[in-house]
Amino acid sequence: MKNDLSRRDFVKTSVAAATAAAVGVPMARTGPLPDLEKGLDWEKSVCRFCGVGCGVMVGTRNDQVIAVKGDPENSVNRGLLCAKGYANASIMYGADRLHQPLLRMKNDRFDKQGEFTPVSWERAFDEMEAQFKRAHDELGPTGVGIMGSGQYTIPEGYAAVKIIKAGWRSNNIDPNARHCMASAVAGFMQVFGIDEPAGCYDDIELTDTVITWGANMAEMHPMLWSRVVEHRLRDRKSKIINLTTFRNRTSDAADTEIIFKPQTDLAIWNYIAREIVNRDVVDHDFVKKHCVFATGPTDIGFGMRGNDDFAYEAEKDTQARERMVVLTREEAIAQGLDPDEDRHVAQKSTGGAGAHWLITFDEFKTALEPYTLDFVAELAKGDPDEDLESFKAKLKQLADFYADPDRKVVSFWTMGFNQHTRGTWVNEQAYMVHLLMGKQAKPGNGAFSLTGQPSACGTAREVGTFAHRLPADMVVADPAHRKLSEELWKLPGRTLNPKVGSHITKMMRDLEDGSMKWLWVQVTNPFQSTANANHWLKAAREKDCFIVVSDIYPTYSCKVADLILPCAAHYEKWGLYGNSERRTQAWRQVVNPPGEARSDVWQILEFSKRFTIAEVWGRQPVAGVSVNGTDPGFLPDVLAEAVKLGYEPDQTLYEVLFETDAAKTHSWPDPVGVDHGNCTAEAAGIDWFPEKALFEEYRRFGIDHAHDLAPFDTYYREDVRGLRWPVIDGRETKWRFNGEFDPYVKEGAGFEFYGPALKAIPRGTRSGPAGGDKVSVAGKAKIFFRPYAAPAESPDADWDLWLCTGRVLEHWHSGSMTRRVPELNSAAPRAQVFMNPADAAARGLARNDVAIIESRRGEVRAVVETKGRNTMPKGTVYVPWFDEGVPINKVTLDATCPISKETDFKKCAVRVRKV
Amino acid sequence: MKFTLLVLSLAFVLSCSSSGPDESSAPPAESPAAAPMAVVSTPDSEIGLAPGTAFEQPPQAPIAFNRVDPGESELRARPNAEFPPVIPHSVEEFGPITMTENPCLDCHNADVAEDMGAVAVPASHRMDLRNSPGEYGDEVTGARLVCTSCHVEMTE
Repeated sequence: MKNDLSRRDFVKTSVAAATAAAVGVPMARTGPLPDLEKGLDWEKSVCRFCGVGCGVMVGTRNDQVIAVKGDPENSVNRGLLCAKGYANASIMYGADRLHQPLLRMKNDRFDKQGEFTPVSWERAFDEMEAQFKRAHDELGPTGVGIMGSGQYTIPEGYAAVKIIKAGWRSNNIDPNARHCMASAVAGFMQVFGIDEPAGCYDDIELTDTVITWGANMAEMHPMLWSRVVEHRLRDRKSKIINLTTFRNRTSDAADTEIIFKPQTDLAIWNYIAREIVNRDVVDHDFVKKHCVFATGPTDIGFGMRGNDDFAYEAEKDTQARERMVVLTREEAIAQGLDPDEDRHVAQKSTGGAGAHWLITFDEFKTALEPYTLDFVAELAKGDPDEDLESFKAKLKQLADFYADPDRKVVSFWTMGFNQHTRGTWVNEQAYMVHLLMGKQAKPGNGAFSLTGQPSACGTAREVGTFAHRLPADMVVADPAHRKLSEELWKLPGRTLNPKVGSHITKMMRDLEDGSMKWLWVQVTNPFQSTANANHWLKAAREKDCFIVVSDIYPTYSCKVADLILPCAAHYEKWGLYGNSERRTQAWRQVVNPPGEARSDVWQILEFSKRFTIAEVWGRQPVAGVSVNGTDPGFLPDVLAEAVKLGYEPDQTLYEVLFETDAAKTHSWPDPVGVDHGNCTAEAAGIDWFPEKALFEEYRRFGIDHAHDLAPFDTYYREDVRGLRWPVIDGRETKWRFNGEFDPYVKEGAGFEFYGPALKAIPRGTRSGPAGGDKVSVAGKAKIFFRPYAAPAESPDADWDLWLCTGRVLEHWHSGSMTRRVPELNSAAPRAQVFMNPADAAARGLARNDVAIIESRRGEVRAVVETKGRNTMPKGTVYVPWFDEGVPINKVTLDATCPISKETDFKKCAVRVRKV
Repeated sequence: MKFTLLVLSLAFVLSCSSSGPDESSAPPAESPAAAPMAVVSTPDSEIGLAPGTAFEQPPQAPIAFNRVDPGESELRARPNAEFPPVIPHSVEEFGPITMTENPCLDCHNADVAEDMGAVAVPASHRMDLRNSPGEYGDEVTGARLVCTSCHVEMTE
């Protein structure tokens, strides 16, 4: 059926509507406007999806979101959005939106084999509490956990950290951001001693060169790509190079595409560094003043289980590489060893993978020696059909761009680098090259780690929703950090657990081996997103464990949950997010959540009422912990000290952690929320403002610690579209560590890499650390030498193809929201296996045939695609993970970077065959 | 008031099977979403977007690629006036959008659209909101060049 508007009307209407939205341009409207434009309440807000963090305008009427458009006032995206951005208006209106808690029941009782039955919140929390206390009584704080998210709002993440660390004294909180950014974070901490990029998106318009590594920016950060393309067309000198393992949409608009073999990015960086050193274009002045050289162990394994007790028979050979690796000839050469000698290497440093020590520039130079153009090109060429000489020419051009002192370069990367068994190493290598050339922390010049999720920065990383973390980059293992946190949180001394908890993949392993029996999943879909999923699905259903999933829709994870809790969606609650360029942005609740859906903040606050401090602050068993003045293996009883602080043993965690005197100073209603609801305060029946109270308390952690945030209300001002921290005296910081822009840099220093972490390290050589005292490298950044290392699992005779996984533009993550938007769903209705046509034909497969993709660990079926957005080289297939009907993580391998614990979703060995 | 709003919201959500208030007459594209959650017990095999438990292999079927040629297709419904018009025709025959080639503009650029029988790219796309807001350039601005960032292609 035809749309009522004629094409001519449509065009005129679009012009009028679009230009009316342009900044400061009053236009007489011509032609009929769609009725919907009239009578909408528009206000600024933030996109729900990727780490670009576009500003949007949300239009509502009668408690419904009618439309979303780009915010022209927001400098991130200047009024543009990708298809998903516009779909923000639709994502909360899918037919099967969760309205009530659902508990598995049989005969009116909880039963793990029962069917999902609607229950009241009261009943839901009763069961959650009973199951928690059962697990906690048996196993202590390590028997419970929270899987959190880089899509948590800042108040949500902060409330979660508080209840689990300050309340339950457990460090088993870890976000899906572990699967996404952990290697980037580890890279930042190792090199700079502080998290997050030095630069900002302004770099795009200021640079001469954009080089994307393992980042399909065109599909995954579309509105940043839009800026890259605009700049490239305006400045003909500028260039774009795309380094990737298969041709994608980013390649389409790039000047040069370099297809490399999985994991050889490690070698390519070293080739570039070797060129820079050998051409003697190192910025010696910069390096001498601001950098040191370092290296670390190479026998660090792949983050897999240390034993094969739980391994399927077929996966034991891969598993065995956790303990023993036989280096390939290339690896041996790359690591400066003799390839003709015995290449068996026991993996002895799996426990201390992040350790590192100083080396000299000469040692660094020597280590780079093997990475000649010939060696690296042979190793790295990823397209069997590409001519080697042409590939070499491209590598040389790449080196030329980096090595040209007058050419500004921004390197962008995302999952190709981070989801990598040496992800921390390859992140460090990006900084290695930029630091050697002095191309870091300068406008238009810098290595820029792009973040995937909307608030992996703002929430997960900055708030610290990780197994080892406290807010503002602090860590549980540091006594000074724990003390500061205990003071800010008004906790007795020694409340906080100093032993690092389980990262997200380890939490799955804990479910499998019975170490963890209670799990709360919030704002994530981990049973779809975690590698080697058959293990965890089975554990969830068959082990004696209780799994709660809080979400807005019934996701794949809900299928294996015991209790499902309905949540308020993005615009149905107050929130703040922090994007890739350190920009914290805020939005108001504009519509009410449906049914009995409640905000995650409400859920945490409400559940916290179920615990008295007597129940959780007594002596607690934590295997391996050691606290002063207490038996090893226990956290001390802190109740006596709690009483001294003025607490009573029967006070609840709600009173102690959340409804504090300080919190209550932020009343609700609040002028910042005039004409807006607050589903948290309303459902709780309180007259204080939880989201604001949580933010204002959290803020205190970062002030004067180079993580300064502005007051809550500032982000809601009409003239503010987010602010890039550190925010000092109301002014944001565009380039950190650069004295011209960053108030934290000492006067006259020029540059100062003032990050405090990991700045006391021993001296050593390539072979290892030497004895003696640690040396302070305060104020400096580290240039790491890291060798090429082969992936955990590579194709062989039986499993002859590389499997790479990732996303597509139309779908966000596990598809739980975008697949319920008809337009996005129609654009990408099912996950396909992208294959080279010759590979498909060789297996009797034609386009759109159903194929089986299988590995040692499991199998899925998907239709074959030999055309479209990706062009695969022979030997590699690609399957996006948005489709719960194609749960590709049943096939992937749970090998991680041993330093960051981030899973390598980009490489494992599969075979593909006809059904 | 709040209660009424709540009931209205509930009724709205339960009755709406697509992407919100739909002002056009053409039916929206199919969504795989299941029907609204039942009020009695539901097995886990019947929730979510794929049938079966997490241990079963959902059936796979070929994708119904859009076979309609450019010029033969009809405008499709959009969920609201802000949503970029979806691509109602096949684009399989076209090469990719590169720095120098944009097959979409071969028909949709304003100077040829009427002759080609195509919807013209609106003037908004010739405005660079970042560098020169308020001014219309002669061509589609670079920031808007990659059509497929916003305009998605429908399958059947």
